[in-house]
Amino acid sequence: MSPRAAWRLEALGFAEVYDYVLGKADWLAAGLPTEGSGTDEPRAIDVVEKALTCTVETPVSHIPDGDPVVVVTDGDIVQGTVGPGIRRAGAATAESVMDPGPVTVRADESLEPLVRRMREKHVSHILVTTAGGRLLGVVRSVTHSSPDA
Amino acid sequence: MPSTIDRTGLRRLMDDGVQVVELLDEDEYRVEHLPGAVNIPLSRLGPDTTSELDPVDPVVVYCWDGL
Repeated sequence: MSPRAAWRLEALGFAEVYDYVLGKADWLAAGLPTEGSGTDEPRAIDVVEKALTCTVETPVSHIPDGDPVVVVTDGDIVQGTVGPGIRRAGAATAESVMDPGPVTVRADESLEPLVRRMREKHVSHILVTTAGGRLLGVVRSVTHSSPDA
Repeated sequence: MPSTIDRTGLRRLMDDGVQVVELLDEDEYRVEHLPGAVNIPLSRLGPDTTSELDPVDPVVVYCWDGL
């Protein structure tokens, strides 16, 4: 919606209008300072860790076992995940064994309720993405406990 | 025609005191916004709500992630 706003401002007589297309999600993902009432509350982006990634063409035999591996496009758009314990024999590719519908959360998701939900559902990892599906990393429930967990 | 700007370019403009406008709703703005940004939800963008902005100086608009 920012392109519409940029055009609208020009129509209103503003001489030099810029559209920061990647927006607040991009700013938060870079860990840059913000202002507001909720900036002290920990969020997913504050604890996100780098995820192991591969492409849909990656042979399953080349995917390390252990942590989930995120299947992404060249532009880091999430396509799915390959969980631990997948049979790593044969010529199968990541695409043939991946879960194409992993649960994702946004960067500004409040951390405490997120970790609580993950524990309730016995989820050890969850992907953090932009609204456009670009991978930012993973949050691990084991390393980020909520106070009442 | 409006130009797009990336994070590096925006930070450079911020050093010069650029006007920044968050287009999201008030609740979302109140919780967290870019340093120095003012809030004008897209649905209310018009001559009245932009009257305190300087039309000659650069202005940057943003929402969540462009979708």
